[in-house]
Amino acid sequence: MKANYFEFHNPLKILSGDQALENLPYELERLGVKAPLLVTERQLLEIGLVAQVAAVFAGAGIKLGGMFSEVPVDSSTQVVNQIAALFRELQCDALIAVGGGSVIDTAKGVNIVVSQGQDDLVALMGAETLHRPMKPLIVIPTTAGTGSEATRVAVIADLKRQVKLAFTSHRLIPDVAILDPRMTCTLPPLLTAATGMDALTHAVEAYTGLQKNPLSDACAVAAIELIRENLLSVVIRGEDRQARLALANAALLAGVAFSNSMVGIVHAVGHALGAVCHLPHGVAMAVLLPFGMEYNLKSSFADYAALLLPLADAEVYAATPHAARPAAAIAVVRTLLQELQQQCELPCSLREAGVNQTQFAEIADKALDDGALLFNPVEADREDLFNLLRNAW
Amino acid sequence: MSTVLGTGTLPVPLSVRSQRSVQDFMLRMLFWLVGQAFLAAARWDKGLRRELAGWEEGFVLRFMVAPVGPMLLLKKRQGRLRYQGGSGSQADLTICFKTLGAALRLFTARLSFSDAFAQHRVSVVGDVARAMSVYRCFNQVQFYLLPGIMARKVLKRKPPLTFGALLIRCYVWFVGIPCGLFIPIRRRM
Repeated sequence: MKANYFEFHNPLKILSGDQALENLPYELERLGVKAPLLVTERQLLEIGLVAQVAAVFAGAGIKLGGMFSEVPVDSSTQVVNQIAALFRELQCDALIAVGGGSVIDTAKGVNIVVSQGQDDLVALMGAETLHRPMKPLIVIPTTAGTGSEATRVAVIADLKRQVKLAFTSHRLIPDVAILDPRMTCTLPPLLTAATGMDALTHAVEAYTGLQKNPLSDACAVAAIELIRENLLSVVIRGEDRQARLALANAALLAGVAFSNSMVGIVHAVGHALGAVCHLPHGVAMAVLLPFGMEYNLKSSFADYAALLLPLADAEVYAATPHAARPAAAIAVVRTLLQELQQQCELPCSLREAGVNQTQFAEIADKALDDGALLFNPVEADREDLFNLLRNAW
Repeated sequence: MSTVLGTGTLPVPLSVRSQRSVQDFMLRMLFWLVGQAFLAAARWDKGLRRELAGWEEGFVLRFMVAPVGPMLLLKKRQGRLRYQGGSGSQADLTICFKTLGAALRLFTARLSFSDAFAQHRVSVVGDVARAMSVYRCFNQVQFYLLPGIMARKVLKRKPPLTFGALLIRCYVWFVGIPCGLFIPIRRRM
């Protein structure tokens, strides 16, 4: 632990495992919900995942108040405002988010607008600024990576300014997260790998962040172990439900960890890459993680040394001299990336990901203004960010 | 034997109340001092000038202690930063300390800006990207205000003390802050 004071907040009820989804009506009733608005994306509707959620309402004595199924891959403040208007029009009283990070963050954004008595999400941007109680929010993740089901953070794009706005408040933590392996088993290998690397980045950055504490450390280490044991096997055999569930649990644990310890330079640059180049967040995390670790190596030497144990295993850890452990931890991440690239063509560099070097200046400027940079253990200026991007290219 | 209290507030010992008053006064002084240092450093420091150039005209920055504690307001007018005193309800960006103690620790260089955020000791009302600009400015102002040994404690990376930086530090301490004593707030608005 680096600080002499920490806060840890995680009021989330977690339902994880087989048939977890069937508890949805009970949880809605427990929360006093009469007409929930389901927020999802079109693709999930088309492959039948939303139908599985709708099926649990049959004979349960509770009906959906409405549905919005057009959340784009990179959600924006306009979409949030549009759904908030629908929520009010249909007189809904709660939100159910079925989807990945974009859908969950969109639902959080909608919750901010409808609960705080505003019409425009942009008016409420900031940190710890939500003072009114929120509407109940139940989250059913269909990817295992963002951890948004467990975090106090929502990241939503402002298309006008081409930036990603971060909203942070303890009120943004959902009421219930339902992790059901049926919900993630259709995820294609490339997306599984990218979202898995996103979860790994959350855990690693949480473990080395300014506000790391014994509780966030425990969650981060548990998440890294689960990712090490399951990510590659799930990419190879996507139908393995137990491994899928383990990855979903890992993503949630990493979410709890970073929600209480925050992330750092990898996320700051990753958000900027998403805003400028529309690079998928998971891919950005995968490419940048080893370079971010190298950047923080001097300051986080002891933390990376300790991370070799969950990243590799006890035998590798014991066989590696203490001074070589941080470098070995970074090497393990690189090896995992190469294995994932062999299995599903996950990009390992910004060049492979299609990023143009001419965009580096804009990316560095945007990353410099990203709130995540504040929590990085090492200061970074524009030139440092430029160098990191150049190395990752 | 239990004591039954009335519906009023809990009794606060006199020593605690007077300590609170002293801390309140100290923080008002520190707000003023940092405000003057910010204005003075922003006249000469290239990095600060570049950051300020990104702030829109009329932008008001407010530091305050919740709910009704001391305040520091700075406003950008005619391209320059102006000291706006210690009261005002309108601001484009508010950095609000949850407790007086947290603000005191930050302004006496016992807590870094990044740790204050990481430990949830402050809330930010407004654009987080602009708050990052304020963070960079605040770090630079601390660099000019604090002796090296203290700056190293609160800055993740302390800039080198070049001859130019030394001149700005002297200007802040021997011109900017003393001059602030003789210029009434209304003339700066």
